[in-house]
Amino acid sequence: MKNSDKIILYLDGQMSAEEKTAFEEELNNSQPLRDELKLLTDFNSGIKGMKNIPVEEDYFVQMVPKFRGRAERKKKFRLFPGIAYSVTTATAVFIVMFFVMNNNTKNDNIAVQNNTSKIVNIEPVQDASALSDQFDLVSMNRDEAAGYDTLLNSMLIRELGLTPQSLSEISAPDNNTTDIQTILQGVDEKEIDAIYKEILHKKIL
Amino acid sequence: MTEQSGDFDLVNSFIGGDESAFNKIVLKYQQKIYWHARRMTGNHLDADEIVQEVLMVLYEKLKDFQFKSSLYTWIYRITATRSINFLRKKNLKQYFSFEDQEAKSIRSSEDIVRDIETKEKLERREKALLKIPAKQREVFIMRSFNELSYEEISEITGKSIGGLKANYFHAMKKIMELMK
Repeated sequence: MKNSDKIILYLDGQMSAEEKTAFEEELNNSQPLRDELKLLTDFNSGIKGMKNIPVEEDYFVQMVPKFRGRAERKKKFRLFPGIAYSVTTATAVFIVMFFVMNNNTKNDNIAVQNNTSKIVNIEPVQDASALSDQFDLVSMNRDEAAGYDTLLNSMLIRELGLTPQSLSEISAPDNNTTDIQTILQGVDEKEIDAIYKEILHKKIL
Repeated sequence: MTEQSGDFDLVNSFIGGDESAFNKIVLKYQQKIYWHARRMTGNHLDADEIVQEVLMVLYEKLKDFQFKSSLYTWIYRITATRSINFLRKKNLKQYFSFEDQEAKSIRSSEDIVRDIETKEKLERREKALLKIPAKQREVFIMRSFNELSYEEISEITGKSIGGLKANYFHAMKKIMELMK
């Protein structure tokens, strides 16, 4: 065993009684061992001398107030994540709602545009009833009437929930023609005008 | 009134809502907390940071303290754990840090030890201590500075007495080599 190892064990009280006696005997006969022991005992004395170092007492006086201040700040800071979480959640919800609403409005606009283009391609008018006045069904030529006839058929199918076949059965029970004049036969002119007005009001207004 | 029963009364008063009892506990143990942290870190600023952390833990956990050990042992355990954790974090920070040494020396000039001769002596020993691995240093400080028995150190650190003796032995060997 090295001298330094023996010294450490000796000073730390880790030697048995026999080991201790043998070491002390060796110590009496060895100057290098005594020198080495002195080095370590001096170091240990130095450490013991460092136990009561004069320091600024103010530091220890201020230790508790400093802690209290920090604890107070920490308490305030603890509230912050709660507030931040609420604000973030509210903002996120608002943004999501905004996009959803915006998207729905756009879809509605597209649907309206699509429906309008399907129904009739006309210039916007202030009064829907004035629009219906433009249709003088009696004075229409055959081609014009056929165009409106197709339009009327598609509107009737949609509004009354009919199939094209059932519509043809209603409008032309004896033959397959969908002549507007055939449909209008026997129907009062004012009544026709009223039906048109009603349909146009439903679609446009 | 024994020290143990005094601590018991203080802890109970604190649990009962007496904030001044906490102040008294701190006043009683603040020097021990500070000097352990100081010897582990080798400078005042780091020691102060550990002290504040320890006080925060004490304040938050004291209501759960059940006197399974003495209050001193419990506080020392918190201080030792916090010191080791602090050093780990510091080493990690230094590893990834670009902080210049000049800034460090300016900060370390702040100290509560004003006497120049004492400060020089202290710094020499602190430097020597910092060359020992943290776990060995911890045992060395408890054994040499605080003169705790291996049984007490074992209670604080939760390590076996054999392991502690080995740690102390290696710490002393390192110090002897440094002194030669």
